[in-house]
Amino acid sequence: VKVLIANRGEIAVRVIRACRELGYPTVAVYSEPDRAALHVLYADQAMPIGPAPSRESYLRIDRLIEAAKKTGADAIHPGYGFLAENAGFARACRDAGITFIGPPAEAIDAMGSKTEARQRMQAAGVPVVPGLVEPVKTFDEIAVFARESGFPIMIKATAGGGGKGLRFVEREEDLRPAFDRVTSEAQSFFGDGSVYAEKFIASPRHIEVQVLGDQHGTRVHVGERECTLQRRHQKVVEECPSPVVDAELREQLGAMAVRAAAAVGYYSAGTIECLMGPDKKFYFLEMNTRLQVEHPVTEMVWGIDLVKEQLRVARGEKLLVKQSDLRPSGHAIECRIYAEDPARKFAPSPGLIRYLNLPQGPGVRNDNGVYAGYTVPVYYDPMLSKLICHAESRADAIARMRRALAEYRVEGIDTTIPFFTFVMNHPDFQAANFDTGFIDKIVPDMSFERGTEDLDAAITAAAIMAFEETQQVRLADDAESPWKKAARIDALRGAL
Amino acid sequence: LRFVARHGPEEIPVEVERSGAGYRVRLGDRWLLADMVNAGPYVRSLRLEDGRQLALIHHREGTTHEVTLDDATIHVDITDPLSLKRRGRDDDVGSSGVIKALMPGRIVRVMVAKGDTVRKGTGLLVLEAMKMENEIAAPADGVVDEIFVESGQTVEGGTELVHIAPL
Repeated sequence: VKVLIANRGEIAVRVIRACRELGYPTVAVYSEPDRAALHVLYADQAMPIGPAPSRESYLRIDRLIEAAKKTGADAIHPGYGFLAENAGFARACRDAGITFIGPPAEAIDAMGSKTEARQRMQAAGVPVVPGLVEPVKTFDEIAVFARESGFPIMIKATAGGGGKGLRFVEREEDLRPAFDRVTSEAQSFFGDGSVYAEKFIASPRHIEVQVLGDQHGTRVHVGERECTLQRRHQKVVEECPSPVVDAELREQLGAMAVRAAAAVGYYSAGTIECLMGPDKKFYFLEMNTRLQVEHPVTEMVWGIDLVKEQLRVARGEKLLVKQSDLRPSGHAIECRIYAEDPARKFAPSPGLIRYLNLPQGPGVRNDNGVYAGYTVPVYYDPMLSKLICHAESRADAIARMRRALAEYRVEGIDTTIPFFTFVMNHPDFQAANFDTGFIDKIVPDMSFERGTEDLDAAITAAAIMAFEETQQVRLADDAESPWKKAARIDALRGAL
Repeated sequence: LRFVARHGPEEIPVEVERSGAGYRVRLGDRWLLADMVNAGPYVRSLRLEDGRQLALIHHREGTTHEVTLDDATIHVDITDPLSLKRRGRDDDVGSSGVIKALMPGRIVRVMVAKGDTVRKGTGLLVLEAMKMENEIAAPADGVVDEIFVESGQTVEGGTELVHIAPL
């Protein structure tokens, strides 16, 4: 088996690692600016697929299939994002005689349309959030729903996901601009301008359940993840298990997730996303028909390699794990390290990474996609790397994460590392007392003021560096003329 | 050797001289002892008098020294008063009425036209960077008297986008 990875960055590296362990040769693909990206350096073969913009490279199904054919790859792993939830891509692979490492195209279709997914889930007895069942094309339809269900509501791109193409609307006057923006984003990011709306559940937590199935009808759940901490509807910190889910609730969530997956004939790894109110009632939100960014927290706690399981399932093998054998152990936390500057409202911060020191030591895992000397391009998602810490308890995992963040050094570009230190130190985070609005609420409290001791140290260091540089410059000035120097070097050469 | 250190609006006279294997450093009116060694590219280990050790990252661009301690980066400007050519520092966004792109990206939409009167917070244009659409709003009331970009255009960080004249 030879596997082509139709992705870039840390997830491509992650998939290459699983392939290596199973003895499968790998093929990386790259856009022009990604020629020297880490995922290319780790692969056995690498094929160019076009210029920088994703729609001309990582989203070009024809070029990916052609790259697979040229290199003799017989399977394609889509990673997450890009074409991972594109049923057309899964079909194109099938038509070309290439194994798509993921669910069947029909399951992607069923879950990919948010409105169809809601209908299918309701039919299967899975609870859903009140909302529009059909996608809407006109503003008036949204306006009617908003008036009937009351604000706040969410407007979402039918084909959206990953925090793109959705807006939260609290007031009637914000409805029009939000609708226009989501429609525009939906068109430019997903090529489908249709949107829908749903009621917003107050003070919810975002809980998701990992499922895994084979092609022989066996499905298991691998527990839940706590993904409540989000910014701009993009997850930033994830945990496994959720601090508010006990064994009994886990059983219920797991049974619901397996039922949801079965309703669409799902196999491979997938995730059922739920909203959970303070009353612990949960509602199906959507299913991500792919490997999830935050899959490592599940792997650390449940002792399973989800990517290797995906590879085995794609070959038609039966699941080796039984539900009764799967048990959680300890607690894991993931921080997504983004090239964004928390001091400047999280503005993107692409550029050259001059220095990088990844944390190490017990219980620390880096799913990293960059290196010192690498230039983070402006064209793609700003996530550089994921830092995952695993320990016996939640408190120990937080302590370990704080320790690891202190070791983590990135120089050249700004990252969200200081922001995560702030979150880990926050008493409400430590007490697991938060909802999806938590990050927006605490961000204004973040301080970038430095103590005078630190400032003294920084000025001292800078002054010593300036001093050393003038010393070197003086030495060069004092030296003999370049002609004399050249003659001396010649003489030395003669002596050797 | 004497320098002037600047951090934000603060200006501090600084003096450095060798002392044994380390340095004597004067910050304002205080003298302190320190030693600093290379610990790999960009990494320095600074030891202060009381033994406090800081592994820091140092990078210099022109006269600006970027020093990263733990989780924060501190910018210090060090100039030699003898060779000092006092250069006026570039104004940040806003004060001159010029709105610049804070990040590289693509202009998705221009929402104002030359001559429009705008209020503080009015959306001027939408910049798409790293897969997100970011609306750039007017920092103050004024009149749009120049638009330097058009929709579809790719811009670098620092590119001038719009000029707003005060009312």
